[in-house]
Amino acid sequence: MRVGSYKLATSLIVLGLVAGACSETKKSDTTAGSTKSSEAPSTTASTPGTAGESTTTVSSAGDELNKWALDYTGGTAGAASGSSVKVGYVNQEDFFPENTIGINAARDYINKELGGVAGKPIEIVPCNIAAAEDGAKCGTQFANDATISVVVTGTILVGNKELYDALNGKKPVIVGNGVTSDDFTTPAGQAFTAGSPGVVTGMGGYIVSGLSPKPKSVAILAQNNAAGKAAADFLFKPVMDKAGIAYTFVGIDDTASAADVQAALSSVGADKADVLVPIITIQQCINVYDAMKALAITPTVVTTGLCFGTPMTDHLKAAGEPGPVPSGWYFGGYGYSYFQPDLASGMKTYIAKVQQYGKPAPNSKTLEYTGFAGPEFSNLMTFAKFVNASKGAVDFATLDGAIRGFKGPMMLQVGPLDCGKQVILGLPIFVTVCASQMGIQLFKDGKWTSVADGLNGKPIDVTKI
Amino acid sequence: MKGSLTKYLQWFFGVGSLVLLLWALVDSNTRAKFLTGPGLTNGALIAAIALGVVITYRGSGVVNFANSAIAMYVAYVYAVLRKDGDLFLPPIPNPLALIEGVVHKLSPSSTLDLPDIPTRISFGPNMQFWPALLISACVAVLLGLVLHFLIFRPLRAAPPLAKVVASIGLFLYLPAVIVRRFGIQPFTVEALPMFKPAKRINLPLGISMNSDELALTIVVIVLTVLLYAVFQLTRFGLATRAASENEKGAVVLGFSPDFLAGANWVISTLLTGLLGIFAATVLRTIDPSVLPAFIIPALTAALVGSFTSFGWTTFAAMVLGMQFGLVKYLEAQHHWYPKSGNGPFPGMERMLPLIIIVLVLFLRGKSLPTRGSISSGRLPFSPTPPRWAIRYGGPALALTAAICGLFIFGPTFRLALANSLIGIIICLSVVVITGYVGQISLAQMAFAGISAFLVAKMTTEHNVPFPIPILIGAVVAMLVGVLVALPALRVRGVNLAIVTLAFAVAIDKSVFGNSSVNGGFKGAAVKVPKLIAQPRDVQYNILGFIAGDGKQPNPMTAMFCLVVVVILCYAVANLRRSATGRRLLATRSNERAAAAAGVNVSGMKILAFAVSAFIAGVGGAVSAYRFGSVTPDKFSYVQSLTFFAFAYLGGIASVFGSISGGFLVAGGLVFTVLSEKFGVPSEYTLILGGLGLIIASVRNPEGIAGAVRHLGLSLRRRRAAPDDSAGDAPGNPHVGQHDSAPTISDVQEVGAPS
Repeated sequence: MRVGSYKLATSLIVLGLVAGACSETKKSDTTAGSTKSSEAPSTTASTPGTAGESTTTVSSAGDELNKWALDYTGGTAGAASGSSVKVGYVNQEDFFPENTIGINAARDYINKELGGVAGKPIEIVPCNIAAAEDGAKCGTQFANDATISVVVTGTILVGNKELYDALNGKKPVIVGNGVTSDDFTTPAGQAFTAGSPGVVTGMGGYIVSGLSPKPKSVAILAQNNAAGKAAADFLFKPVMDKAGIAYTFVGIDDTASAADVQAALSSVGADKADVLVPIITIQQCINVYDAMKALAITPTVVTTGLCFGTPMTDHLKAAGEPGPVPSGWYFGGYGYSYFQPDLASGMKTYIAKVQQYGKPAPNSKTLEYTGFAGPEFSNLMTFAKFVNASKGAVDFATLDGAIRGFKGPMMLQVGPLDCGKQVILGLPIFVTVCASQMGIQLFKDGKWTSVADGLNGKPIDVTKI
Repeated sequence: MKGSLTKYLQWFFGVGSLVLLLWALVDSNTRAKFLTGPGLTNGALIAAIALGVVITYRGSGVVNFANSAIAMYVAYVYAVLRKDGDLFLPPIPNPLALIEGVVHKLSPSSTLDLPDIPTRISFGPNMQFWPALLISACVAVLLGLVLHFLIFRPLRAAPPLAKVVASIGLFLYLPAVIVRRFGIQPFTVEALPMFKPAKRINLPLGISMNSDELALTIVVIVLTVLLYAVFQLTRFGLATRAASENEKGAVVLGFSPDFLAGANWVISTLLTGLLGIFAATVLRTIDPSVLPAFIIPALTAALVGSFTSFGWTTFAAMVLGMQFGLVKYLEAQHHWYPKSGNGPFPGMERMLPLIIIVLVLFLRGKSLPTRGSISSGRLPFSPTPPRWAIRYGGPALALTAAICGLFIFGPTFRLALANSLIGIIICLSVVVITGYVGQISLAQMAFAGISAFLVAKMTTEHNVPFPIPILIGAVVAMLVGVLVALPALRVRGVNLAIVTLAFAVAIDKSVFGNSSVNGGFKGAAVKVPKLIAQPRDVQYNILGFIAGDGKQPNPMTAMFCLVVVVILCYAVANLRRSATGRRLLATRSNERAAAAAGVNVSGMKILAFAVSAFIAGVGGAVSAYRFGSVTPDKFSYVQSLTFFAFAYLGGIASVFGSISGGFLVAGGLVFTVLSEKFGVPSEYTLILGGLGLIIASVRNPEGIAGAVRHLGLSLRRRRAAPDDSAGDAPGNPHVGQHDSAPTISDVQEVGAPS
């Protein structure tokens, strides 16, 4: 009897937990004794142009912004109606929830104000990657679903190859924010952004020919995973070799602690190097910032846009520093800036609309839009452009042709596109990458400055490095 | 001759290590990179985790693999209280959701909305330091009590395997809860109020540290001395020591080992939690991966301290913490440092714990800790596969899987079937090594990965035709398995678990993370025969029946996996039925008795490692062909832990257990049913897996397979002898054990002489 009771209790606990899972999934987090964190979270967002220090209530977008968006997408003002056009969306939610903020905000904006796609509303069909096995699962799910018109990926660290293999030749694919090697080398789709092949190589190009005086030594700190090491070894070091600039390199684990990073910085000779290049995630960027302060070293830092976002802003705030990112750092990106929004690239429209339609990620009170949310927003806008241009045709041949033939301009990405033909540093392997230009911005003394980007008309063309 | 060679080798390693240490300290350049502030801080962080491991072991005999996860969990409690004023709760069963789910299923238009269990308890806005610390400390104490009373007290008499399994379950469960609640992004933790603003302090020998880093280091050292004093000088400490030496003796002297274990659990979780909070404030951020990863060096340090010496543990932790900077310095500044491709050989700093562990085991193998426990426990029963199962059950199961895979399942379940089949192969490898021989290996996915990457190289660079790469990959994995088996000749139980875990981490970082192996930007593709290539929309006409639905995945991919599974299942079942199988089980039961009976114990262990690694190698190769590529993430050390968990959950001592375990793996049939039919998100895999592992280790060590076997036995008895005596009553926990259990008592480390 006793054993039976235990088994019954155990079974009930497991069943209840499973049911609890459904319950938690269905609804957002609930807070006992307070309504502050879960019920209608008050959306706060960094205000462009003011270094993200103050918060603002979002106002309705101006006609100017909508006009830009309508021109870009080729849509008609107003709300969409009728049967929906389904877009498969694959993302690793635990790691990169901001992608989802971007694509959902774009969907709502397109459906409510830009007339949808050829008048029809867009429906996002999500598929989350929680483990490597999910790559094949999401890929087959969408490849076999005739109602899915296109697949847009978010940011995925595992299962990428299986995902693309399943989709190759079955569905048009827009690769969102590529970070792994497969994202840049798959023939399954195209990425309208420069990705790490463009950004990391461009950072090297800027250090060689943009910094004055020309540095004599560079210290490189890269993530010790396949993508991080490949970026450092095959995209950055060759640029330094070609320019004859001496460099030192260390890799750090994904699980490296702040003390590890401090030791690594000291070991790589960051105190003596003219330039420090961290090619790392935001967790390690925070550690690099702390380590530089602790070691009291001030090399010129040239890094990627991975180093800005809410965790960095929160961390700097806790450390009593003003600004969303460390002062004096250079940031490589796609050529435009969240912090200096302009109309022509679509940045102003994006900022206004993501704040209007975006919802904070689960368990977060802050609307994170300065990371991968932007490119994801622009990818869906670009999809809308294709469907509007094809008068609503969403068959594979039409959309795949439109994606592969897209020459730009691409919202939030500088320069023309030439899909499948980019040869970077003599490597013809990046067949997915369409963009070849990138930009560098400097944050100093509370101000963002365009150093070499689309805003000052001096973006860096990585095919010429 | 053999003994003198061992002695010479021990001297060689001992003197070699000393020379290396002296070189690191005497040379000014290397010393400057070895004796550093970050190094000391790192060492203090490792020591903070390691001291908790030692306390727990001394008090309860449990080597707690989850100690770093406990530190992380309590630190999150503190951080969230400070930032939001909320106390977060783990997922709690909600019976109302069952009702709601059923109603919605029956009536989709229903608006029934029953209350949810809150995920947080709010105390208002952000909380001040002292209240937050107090609540966090209470949570740590509560955690200690829960761990003791609900998990480890019931396991007091269990073999080491069950305790290791429970702590691995915790190691998987706690971070999964954090990921569920907060995602993976770093969470900012402010410095402790007394260390604001941060001050830089310069110490002799050029060491420079922040004031809180220095304070953490001092706290850890002071704590080491205090713990030494408490355990040497106080009645409580002496009682704990007595119980750790011999529980029976402690009982005779009037001490309660149970009380001592409980008290030590509370002390351990409280200290670990408080140090975790301190560590998080020093690190300034916290996430679900950084602190838990400290467990490998912490276990290494505890092993150096024989799980008893606080001083040696802290010393080893400091050395491990400081070596990182030195290795990185050599990596960055010295041309002679081993290279791989266009960069330095990765992960050497993770190799050092493995080297230290192997050295320690080699030099001190026989004096490693064993613990006298109050009573003996059994390893999960390993039944002989009955003839009907071999002749009819196996073929019926295989036929069912084939029919489902070819004709019934849709794409999603075909994928799940293939995932489960590969899971079965890995679980089979665990059954051979742990179920049959009682050796705990946490490196199965490392063996699988070695084979998988080799398959990629062979098929793409050398055009070796299918299926030869599978055999070559498995043989190489087997050879590596034999190498790993060598330490197993001197150690067993948790010590071996630590060796294999350190091996898995080292292989993960140094080999799989190496661009010469993983292919860098090009990746590690595999040339797959068209017949079994997964992403194909095909149908087959089999004897007039149409197999597949014309959608991917190709049903033949799962059939390929099924063929391999059937071959391996029969091989492992026959191994269990053979004389060799009986020798393996005899080795598991009692090494001395087995040796006295003429069993070559060392040979059996090496054989088991070889067979197990071979099977894991086949699993890796099949996975490579199935996916058409190999990536490091599929073979990380966390994957090894996860597969071990599911193998145990399924039933670690039988082929049927591995089949059950395969059904449970991530992306397998069980979770696909939960996901597709009940809407349970896939991120619950680790939460449910970890929790299931804990429950299984406490309530049902024989796993699902054991429960099914007991049910079958119970039904058979009821049918055969309705008036049977009370001894065979269904409620009797011994039912089903005496009829076919081994006659030699199971593996014990009780009172093993040093």
